[in-house]
Amino acid sequence: MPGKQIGPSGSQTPESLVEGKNLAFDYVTGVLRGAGRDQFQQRLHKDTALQAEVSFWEEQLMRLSDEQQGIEPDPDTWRGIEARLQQQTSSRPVREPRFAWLWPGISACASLLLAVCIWLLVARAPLQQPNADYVAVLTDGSGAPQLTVLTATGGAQLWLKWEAVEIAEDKNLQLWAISKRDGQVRPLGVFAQADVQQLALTVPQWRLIKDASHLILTEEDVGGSPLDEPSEVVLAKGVCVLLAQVKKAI
Amino acid sequence: MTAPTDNQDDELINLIARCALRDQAALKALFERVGPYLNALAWRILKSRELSNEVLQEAFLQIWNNAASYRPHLARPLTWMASIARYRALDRLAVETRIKDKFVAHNDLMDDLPGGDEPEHSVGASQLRFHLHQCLTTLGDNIKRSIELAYLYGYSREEIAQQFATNTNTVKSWLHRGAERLRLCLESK
Repeated sequence: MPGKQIGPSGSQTPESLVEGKNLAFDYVTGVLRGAGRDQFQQRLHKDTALQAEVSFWEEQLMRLSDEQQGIEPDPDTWRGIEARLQQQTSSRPVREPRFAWLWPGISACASLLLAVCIWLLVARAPLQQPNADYVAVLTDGSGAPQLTVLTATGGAQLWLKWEAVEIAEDKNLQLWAISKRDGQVRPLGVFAQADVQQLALTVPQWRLIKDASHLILTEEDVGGSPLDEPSEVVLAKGVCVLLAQVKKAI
Repeated sequence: MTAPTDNQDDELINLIARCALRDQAALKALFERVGPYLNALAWRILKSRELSNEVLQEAFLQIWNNAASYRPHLARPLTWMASIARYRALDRLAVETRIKDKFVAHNDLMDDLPGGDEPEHSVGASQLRFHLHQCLTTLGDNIKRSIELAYLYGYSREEIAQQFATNTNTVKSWLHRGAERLRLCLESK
């Protein structure tokens, strides 16, 4: 029934679980209409169990339609899309460079900012974002920020802000991405000193960041880990947060 | 377009990723690749070329704006884009007057798509589609047709009830019972 409440995942009764499954099916097939559909969409943002249900039916029922059958769009349709994209771009206020607002206070407020960002990300509905830029504040065991990593200019550049990271002469630093998809740890870059401030990102590196749940910084032999696996000396670790989404939500 | 294989999925994923980086050429490439398919999805629901093209515009703007939030490990790229187009078509349907002559025999509906490419079937996609149709067939004709009318043609419960000369509670029950049995069947494959 559209009006009924479904609790967050993990606190559902068997009845509400069945009801959630039914609603997900109704939503995907399209028979859930009006206010019921609106309410369901709001719940969907917060309920991962419902998201899984919806994904299941979207994937399965997709096969009802023949992927080879198509209707050529009218020529004006693409022109209309271009015009509206242009409109979006010109109506968007000129944005300051991200670092202009982010950089000055980041070392002192990094943890707080991240906490606020995560709260906003979780507590508020996810919204459309114009760019996919990510931030990760890597902290040591005591919670002190050691390295702040930010992707900017649409993922083309990695910006690094180092704190007092000390490294022996016969050691290097290595940055890694932990995939949220498969939990694998993959290398992002090796640094002889904690002084590299910018790094051009390749497409594979950008993908690693987009797919990362966390970034970690380890101490490695010169040239980086010979095994392509991080050593046990983890200097810092931080959650990778989609910044643009947070900014828009704010 | 041909039925996507894993490689074709990768190509679509790359194009969506490039959209996230604000590469308009990638959006155009996506439009050329999947625009006809999404347009057909919208047309089936709206039964209007004008409306389906408007929905297509909205869908591609949403694909552009949401490209960064697409997660390849959660959904196939075509499923993600098709869902956007279908939900936008359903939104539009909600504000448009229903076209009266939509209530034609179901068999006619199945063949009513204008234009389109000749089907080319990849083995993998055909197999999956075959499983779905096999499972749907086990549900009985009324439930199978109700699901198809809702999903493919945007029928409401009331419209399905009218089609089968029954009431909406019966249709609701058909759909939920059908969903449960369909899931069991699909998961056993």
